[in-house]
Amino acid sequence: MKATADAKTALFILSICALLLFWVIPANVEKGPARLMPNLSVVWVVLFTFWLFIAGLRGRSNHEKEEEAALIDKKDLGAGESFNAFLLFLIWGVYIFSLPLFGFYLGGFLAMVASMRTLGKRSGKPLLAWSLGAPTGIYLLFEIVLQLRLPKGKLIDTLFSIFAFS
Amino acid sequence: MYAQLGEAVFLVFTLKNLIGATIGILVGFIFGSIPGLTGNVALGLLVPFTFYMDPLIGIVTLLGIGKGTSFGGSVPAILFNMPGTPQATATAIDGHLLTQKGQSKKALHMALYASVGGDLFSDLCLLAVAPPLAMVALKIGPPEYATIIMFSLLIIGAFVGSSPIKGLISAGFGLLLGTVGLDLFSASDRLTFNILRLEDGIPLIPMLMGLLVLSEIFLQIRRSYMGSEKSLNETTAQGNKKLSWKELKQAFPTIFRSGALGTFIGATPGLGATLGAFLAYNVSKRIGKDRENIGRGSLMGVASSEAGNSAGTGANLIPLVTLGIPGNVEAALILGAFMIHGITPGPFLMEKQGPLLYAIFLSLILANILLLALGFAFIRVSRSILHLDRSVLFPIILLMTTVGAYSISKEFIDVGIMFLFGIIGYVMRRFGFTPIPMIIAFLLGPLLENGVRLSLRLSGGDPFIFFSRPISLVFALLSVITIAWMLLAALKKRRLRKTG
Repeated sequence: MKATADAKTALFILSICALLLFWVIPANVEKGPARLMPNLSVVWVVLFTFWLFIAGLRGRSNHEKEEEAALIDKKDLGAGESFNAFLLFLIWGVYIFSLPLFGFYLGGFLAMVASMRTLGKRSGKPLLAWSLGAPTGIYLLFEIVLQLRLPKGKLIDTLFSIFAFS
Repeated sequence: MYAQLGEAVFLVFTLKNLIGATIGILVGFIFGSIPGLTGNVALGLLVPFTFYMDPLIGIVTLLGIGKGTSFGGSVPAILFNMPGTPQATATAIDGHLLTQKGQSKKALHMALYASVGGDLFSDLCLLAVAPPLAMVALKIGPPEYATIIMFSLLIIGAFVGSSPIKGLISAGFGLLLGTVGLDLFSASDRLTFNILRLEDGIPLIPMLMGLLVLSEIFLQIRRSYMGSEKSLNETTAQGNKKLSWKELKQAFPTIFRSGALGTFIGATPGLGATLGAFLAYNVSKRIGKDRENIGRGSLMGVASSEAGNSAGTGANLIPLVTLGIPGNVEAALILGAFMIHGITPGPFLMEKQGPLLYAIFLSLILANILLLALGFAFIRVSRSILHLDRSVLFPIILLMTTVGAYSISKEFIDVGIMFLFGIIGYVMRRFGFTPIPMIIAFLLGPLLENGVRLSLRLSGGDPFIFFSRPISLVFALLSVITIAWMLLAALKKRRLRKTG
């Protein structure tokens, strides 16, 4: 009997549930009625995941067939989309975790340039126009219209203070 | 009721409210017409901005998006056989055939009239049905509430998405996420991992934006729409014949019937507009006017599917405002908007915020009139919107989501939470799990827990309390029947596969 992707996914979820039931919930929820709902939720997941596991051992799901069809489409269209998605994850992940340093405006500009280039926009003028235009639009909407100050980042604040002192 | 209705009229007819509805509809048109960018993405993106608006204007803007998306999705379906939203799939069948016959303008106009007609029907039903239903809902106690929520979760998990089992697993994780924060009764920390921000629970808006908007964008990039761009260029020319009054008049019974069906489906938690559209389409094909031509390029086919899917927009507010149960993800997002304004939908909403609620209902009707007016203009400019460059659009949406997630609490951790849920949503979708039941279960989880624990307190810990009252017994039995039905369906499928 060959395990399908669904069966493997089910096994992965079941191992997460075991971790939750025997380690995470006991360590992070006090004993008594407070544990009722977290435990019930995990039991709910376990029951249906077990069902998925059994179904997964019997045959391929529609989703797997769709995925296979999508892969065939992808081959026709040209590869690279998965890599692009991964790159974008990376770009926006770095942007989010460096927000305290670069702030929304400088960080936003850099993330826009990087992600637009990743998605195939390479010509200089439109790239620069959109990358500058989007943070400017956000500045106008948030700081001017909604009167909400967005962090500019330590880097810009430091630069401002240097120029202010000089 | 009439006094509240009178107060509501003054709230509705304000310039700000009209602008809110107009913006919502226009945003809905744009997002609905771009395949892959559904109304959920637009709603998820705009929910944080409603925090800065008056509650009525914010909610009306979001409802406008729902209406705009519903019609917006049918435009590329008719012109290019490329449904902008899943619920427009049935519209594409006859709509695109009409385009190939050189009658695209007729088809688009019929879609607009049917969309407005179906939607108007469901809005009037909402206005008529919600107040008495809320009165009944006031009489239900914790055991009834718990079993109703349990049944709704089973239905939502089983019907939203392509796999019922995966939907139910997703709902289970949503229930678990809903327990994060301080315990409702003892106020002790639960699964907060000593993170102060999590004491109030996982922040809703960043979670919604991550699961819906971020994951959708990453998935779109992975899938790439190069194939769709190609079909845009291969499309046939737009026809110029307008819809005649006679043709519209002939479609009235179809629009009415399909609107009624769509309303019924929309009011049932978990059964979405897509089902409403296909059901209305199939009924018209069996008993409707011009049934022999439905499927071969008939205006009645367009009218039935559009009225069927649009009717769900108003109807899915029925369980939300009467019981506090969001029947689909749009309602869940609107529930989020209610909550950021400190309004809790449910049976008490009619009592406490009657004028606001009636103002929302009336605004829905007003938005329909706006939809009709703006729809004609949109048909003219629709082609240019369909050609928006995704390499520009996606980064702008990503930038907006980060700012939106930060703007509510002004804490960087919310942006991180959004990103984390973006990854979770992406992984879930890659493996065939829809995050929608997770979101709805997350919202309903605390209500379910409250109902269960209060019931157990009332009965001294005896779980038979859920089977000892008539309403809770009915819903408990319905829940058992739903699971049994799923099991039987799975066994039947297996037997069919075996026999080949």
